[in-house]
Amino acid sequence: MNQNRLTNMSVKELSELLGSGEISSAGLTAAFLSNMTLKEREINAFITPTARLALEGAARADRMRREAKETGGEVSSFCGIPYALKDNLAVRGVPLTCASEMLRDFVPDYSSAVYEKLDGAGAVLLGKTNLDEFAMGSFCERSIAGPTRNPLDPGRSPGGSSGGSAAAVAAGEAPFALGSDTGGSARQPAAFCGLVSIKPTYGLVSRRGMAELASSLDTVCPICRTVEDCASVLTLLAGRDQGDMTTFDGAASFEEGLDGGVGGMRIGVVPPSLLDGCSPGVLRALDRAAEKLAKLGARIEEADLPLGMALEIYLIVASAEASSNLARFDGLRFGLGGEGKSAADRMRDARARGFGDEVKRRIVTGTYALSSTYGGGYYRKVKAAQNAVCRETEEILSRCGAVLLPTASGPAFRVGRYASDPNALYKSDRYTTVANLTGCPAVQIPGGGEDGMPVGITLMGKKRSDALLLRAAYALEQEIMTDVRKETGRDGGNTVWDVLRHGK
Amino acid sequence: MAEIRSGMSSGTENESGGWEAVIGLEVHVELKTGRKIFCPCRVSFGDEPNTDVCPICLGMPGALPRLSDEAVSLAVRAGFVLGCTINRTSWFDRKNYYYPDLPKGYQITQLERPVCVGGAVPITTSRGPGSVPLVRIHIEEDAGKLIHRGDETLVDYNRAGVPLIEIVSEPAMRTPEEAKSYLNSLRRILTYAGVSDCRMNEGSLRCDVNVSVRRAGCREYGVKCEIKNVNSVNYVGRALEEEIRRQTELLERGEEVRPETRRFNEDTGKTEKMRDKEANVDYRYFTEPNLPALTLTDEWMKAVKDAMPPLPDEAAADLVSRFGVKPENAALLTSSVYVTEKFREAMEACGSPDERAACENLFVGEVLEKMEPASDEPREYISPGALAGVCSLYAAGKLVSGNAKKLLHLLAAEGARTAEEAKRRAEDENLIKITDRASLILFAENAIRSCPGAAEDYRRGKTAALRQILGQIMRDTSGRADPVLASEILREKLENENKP
Repeated sequence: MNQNRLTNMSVKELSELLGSGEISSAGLTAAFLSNMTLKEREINAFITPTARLALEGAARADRMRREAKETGGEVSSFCGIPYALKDNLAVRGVPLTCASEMLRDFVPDYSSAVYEKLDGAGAVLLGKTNLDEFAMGSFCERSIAGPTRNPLDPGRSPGGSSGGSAAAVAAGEAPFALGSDTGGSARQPAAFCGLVSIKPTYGLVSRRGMAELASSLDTVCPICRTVEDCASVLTLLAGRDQGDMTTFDGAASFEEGLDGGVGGMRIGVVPPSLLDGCSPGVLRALDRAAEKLAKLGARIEEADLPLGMALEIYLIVASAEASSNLARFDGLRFGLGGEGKSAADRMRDARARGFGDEVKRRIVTGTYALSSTYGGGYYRKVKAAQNAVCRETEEILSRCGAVLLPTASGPAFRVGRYASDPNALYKSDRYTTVANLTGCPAVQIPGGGEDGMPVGITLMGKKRSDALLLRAAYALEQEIMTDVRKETGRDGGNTVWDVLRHGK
Repeated sequence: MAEIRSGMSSGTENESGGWEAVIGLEVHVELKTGRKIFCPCRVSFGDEPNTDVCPICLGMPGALPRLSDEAVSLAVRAGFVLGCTINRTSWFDRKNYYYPDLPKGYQITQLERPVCVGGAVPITTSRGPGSVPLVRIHIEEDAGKLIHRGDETLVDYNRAGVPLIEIVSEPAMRTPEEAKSYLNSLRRILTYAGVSDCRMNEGSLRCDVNVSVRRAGCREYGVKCEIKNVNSVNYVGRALEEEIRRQTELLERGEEVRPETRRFNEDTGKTEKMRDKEANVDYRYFTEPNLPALTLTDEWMKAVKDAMPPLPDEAAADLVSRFGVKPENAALLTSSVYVTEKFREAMEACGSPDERAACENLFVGEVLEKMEPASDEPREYISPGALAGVCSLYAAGKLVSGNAKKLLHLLAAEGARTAEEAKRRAEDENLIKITDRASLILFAENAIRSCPGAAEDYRRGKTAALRQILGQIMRDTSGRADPVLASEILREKLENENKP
C-alpha cells in the first residue's frame, strides 16, 4: 500500500487494515519511521525517537495478532498501531526530559499508567515528542530540543505545550499521540494543527507517571485525526488506577453511541462580548458550528461563561502548584547535579542552570502566591474565586448540555511572535483554562480555516459528560464534512481539516 | 487553655520560689504498618541505606502518592484509645520547604483538618492520678535521615515516607514528673493498642519538648523554647529540669528568655541552643491535590473498632476476672502488651488454681523485673512452658519456694522451653523437696547433734532456738527439706528426749 496514504490514515482505518491482514505492524511502523526521517529535519516534533523499540514492538504486535488468529483469541484494536507520547510521560528505560536541561539525562525506571495501557494493548511507541519545558508554554519552542514547526506551515508554531504531539500527527509521523493539558496544552496545538483532542474530565485518565505541572489541573489527552479515534483512545486510557487516587471509572466505551446525534440537546454559545479579539475565521467557524448544531436538532442558547476570571485564577493556581511540584528537582537524587559546598548551594546551582526562564518565572510567581509572608494569603483568595467560577460554570452546564466556544482566538501564531511577551502568551489560553479549573471535559475539533490554516472550536460539558460531548463533536464533525463536500463537490480527505482546507 | 482535671500539681513554687513551668509535648509516633504511607516500600529499622525506596518515596517526576488504608486505621485507632474526636472528613496539606532529606521538596501532612482532635492521656504522679488533654493527632510522612561522616553528609531515604502520627498535647503539664508520666502512659496505651512499637532508641517514638516559665499564678505564657528530639523518657525529665532551671535563672536575673530551638546534650546534661526560633517559617501550605479528602464511613469506623485489642485497663480487668489475679498485680502485668501476653501464656500453661497462684507470685516477684517492661524492647526472660513447669512442681509440693526461684532463674539462663525440661533439671540439680519421713529423721538427729547449744536452749523452753537447728537441716539438704515436716520431726525429737 502507498506509504503516503498509510501515514495519513486514521487509527480506525489502520486498525481495520491490520485486522484484515492487509498490512503488518512492522510495515506500518516502518512507514511512519521513514516519514519521520523525511519530515523531522523541518518539523522537529520528536525529542527522543525510539525506532528500535518501535520495530521490536511492531514485531511483537504482529506475533500477537498471528497467535490470536491461530487460537481464535482477541487482540485490542490498538495492537500494532504506532503512536507518539509527549515527553512528560514516563516510559521505563526511555529518557524523560520534559524538554528541560534539568532532566536531559534522566531515564526513569518506571512507566506512566497510560503507557502501560497502550503497551498492554500492543500499541507501538514511535518516540517521545517535543514540548515547552515542563509543559509551560503555548508554542512548543522553549525546549532543549529547539522549537517544533507547524507541518501545515513551517513558518508557524504548532501551538503548545503539546506541540510535538500535534505536529507529529499532522505531519503523518504518527497516527495519534498523547499530550497533556493543564490549561489548554493539548486542545490549542490540536486546533493549530487541524486535529481533534479531548481534555477528559479530571480523574478519568490516570496521571501516574506524568511529570506534574499543576496536579489539580493536569490531564492526559489523546490528539487524533478524528473524533472517533479520540473516543477509542479514551476508551483504552480511561478508568480507575490505584496508583492515582484522583481517578474514577468512566464509561466502558466512548465509541458506543457515538453516532447518537445531538437531537434535543441544549447547547450554549458564548456572548459576543467574550469573543472580543477573535479572528474573523474563528467567528465564522463558531457561527457555522452553531448553525449546524441547530440544524441537527440542538437548541442553541446563550451561555455567559466566566472566562476572564478563569484565566487569571488559572495563572495563580497553576503557578502555585508548579512551584511546589518542581521543588523535587534539587539535583540531589536525579537530574542535573549542582555544584557547591553546601547542600543549599548545590540545589541553587542545579535549579539555576537546570530551569529555563519561563519555568523560573512561574516558580517565582507561584511561590509568591502561596507565601503568607509575601503573598498575604493571595492563594487562598484565588482558591475561593476558583470555587465561585466552578459554581457558576456548573450552573450554566446543568442548563446546557454543552457550551460551544473558540479553542484559541485565531489560527496558529507565526514563529517568534510572542517570544518576548509572556502576557500575550498567557492570554492565548483564555478560552481553554476554564475546563481545567472546573475539571470539566472539552473536545476540540477543527471548525474552519483562515489563511490556509485551521481554526479550532471547542465543546465543553459538565464533569463526566465526556461521552455526550464526544457524541456532539462527532455529529458536528460529520455534518461539517458532509456540508463542505457538498459545497465543493470533492471528497477532500478523511478528516474534517482535510475536507475543510479544500473548501472555500 | 485546657486545665488539668485532677490531682495535679499547681506548680513548682516551693522548689523555685514563685516560678511555674508550662510544658507541652509534641510526640511523633511511627505507625506499625510495616509499609510506607504512600508506597508499598518496606519499613524496617536498620536496613542497608537506600534499599527500601521507590520512585514514589524518592519523589521522582510523575510518581503519585497512594494512601495506605492501614496507616489511616492505626491513626484512627490511636484516636479511639486516647478518647479523641475522629473527624469523619479530614484532608492532607503540603508543607513546602527545601531540605536534602525531603525528596519532594514538601512534606504531606495534615494542617487544616487533622484526623483526630481532642482526647487526653491519663497520668499518675506523686500527687495522684490526673490527665493531660490533647490538641490533636494528625497523619504525616517522615523524611529521610542525614548521616554526617567527617565533612561529608549522606542521605538515607529508607525513612522517607514512613507513616507517622503527631500527637500534640495542650501546654497543660507543669513538672518534669508529669511529662515523664505522660510519655510512659502514652507509650503503654499505644503499644498496647498495636499502634506503634514506640521504641525511642530506634526513633519510632520521638519527642519534642516545649517549655516556658512564668510567675506562678500568672495567666499569660512565658517565652517558650523547644527542645528537639529528646530520645528517652529519662532524658525528657532531665532536659526539662535543666531547661526550667536555666529559664528560671534568666528570669530571676531579670533577663529575657529568647525563643530558641535547643537540644539536650546527654553527656553534659545541659540543653544547648541549635538555632533561633524562626519567626513563623513560611511553609506555603496548600491542600495536597493528589489525595482526595479522607472520608471515613460508618462501616470503616466499625471495622477499625472491631479490630482493636483491649486497652491496658481492660486487659487488667480481664486478668482479674479470668485468672483471679490480684488487682495490684494486674496493673503491673499490663505495663506492656508483651508482658501481658507472656503472663497470659504462662497462666494458660498452668493447670490448677494452685499452679496459677504460684505463677502469679513468681511472675510478679521474679520474672517481671527481668523482662525490663519499661524499656523499648521488653524481653521474654523465661518461656511460659518452663515457668509453668516450675509452678507445677511447686504446687505439687516438690519444691520449696527458694528452690522454685532457683530453678526458675536456672531455666531462664538455659533457655528451657518446656515443663519436662523443668522437671528434669530439678532432678538433675537435686532441687526436689525431701518429704520422706525416714530421711528427715536422720537429718534431724544429725542436726541436733551438730547444734548442742541450740538443742539445750530449746529444751529449756526457748522455742525460737528451733530455727537454728532447722537451718542446719536446710544447709545439710541444700534447702530441699520440707520445712514443715522437718520442724515437726525436730519438735518430736527434742520433746521426747526430754521425757524420762
